[in-house]
Amino acid sequence: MKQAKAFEILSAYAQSQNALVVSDIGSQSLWLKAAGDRDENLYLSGPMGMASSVALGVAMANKDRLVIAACGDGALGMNMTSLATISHAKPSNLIVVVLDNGIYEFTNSLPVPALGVDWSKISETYTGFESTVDLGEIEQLDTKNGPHFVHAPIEGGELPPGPGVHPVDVHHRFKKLLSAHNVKNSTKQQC
Amino acid sequence: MVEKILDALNAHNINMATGVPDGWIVPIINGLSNDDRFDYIAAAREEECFGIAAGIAMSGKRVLVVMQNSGFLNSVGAYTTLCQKYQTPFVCLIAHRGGINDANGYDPNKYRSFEAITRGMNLFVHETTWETIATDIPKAMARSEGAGEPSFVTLTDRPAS
Repeated sequence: MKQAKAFEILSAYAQSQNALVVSDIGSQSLWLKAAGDRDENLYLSGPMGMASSVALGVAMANKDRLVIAACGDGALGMNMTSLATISHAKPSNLIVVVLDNGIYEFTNSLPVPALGVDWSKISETYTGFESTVDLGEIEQLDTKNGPHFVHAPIEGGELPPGPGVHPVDVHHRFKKLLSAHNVKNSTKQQC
Repeated sequence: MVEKILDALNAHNINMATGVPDGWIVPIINGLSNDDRFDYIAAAREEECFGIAAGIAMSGKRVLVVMQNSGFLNSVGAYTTLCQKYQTPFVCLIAHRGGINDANGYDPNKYRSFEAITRGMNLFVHETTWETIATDIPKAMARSEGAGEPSFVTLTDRPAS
């Protein structure tokens, strides 16, 4: 599967779930934007590997929203300890997706060290994850009882279209969206 | 003492925290972990703390980060390309080890490097004490939100026994 197609599936799923999406620098952020720019998308432009950690923070701060971390296999390989942290924190509203093409797409397609990781067995090792599924099964996940891990094998060799969104604009539009959401929920509770 | 710190955090809506332990700040971490008013996220590595805190801050919530000075040294890249670039406000409480209050010359290089790097990066660093920390963290949070950047608060001694 091409990465563009994987993000079409992921973006459509996120919209159907009203989910917040945190994406890693480079391919993940740019392909996510190409699949459909939303205020719910928190595009990262540095450093590599932080999407899973930022998404954990977003998930803990927004327990009434599904949160998806879209990670590259090279990026997540740089922050494998985040899987231990997530496994321990067990945020029920978090899905971690790894887009696995085996290469650093932006770095002349050099192979990633994460080639030595079996992404299909994450929940067997990081036992706080409730399940590991392939991207094609994402709609079957019980989104109230995560965290879940999704493995998306993809083809390499195609750079995404640019440009991205300025980091400060990403921050402020994301915060504005959530502030409006929280005010709406607070008003509902008062009524 | 810890109860006073936790009450101050709660009074200023700082109800989320993340960190990696240091011996000096264990009482604060235990307090945050065992008090229902707070969500404490124990991170495996300090670099993650800056990611977690950025996610919380960009969600519009207040968050405290706690770690040793060496943890910041581990995380300078993540700090610059995430927290500085996205202008995320939060307070980072640092156990600033390796100074004159550490016995037997414990890790003086951590102290020296933290001093040099934070000065070189022109970061906002305020030295606090166990007596003033309960008021200094909320003030540092207000400063952080006004400036659109994290504020660092350092402790250079262990808590009184």
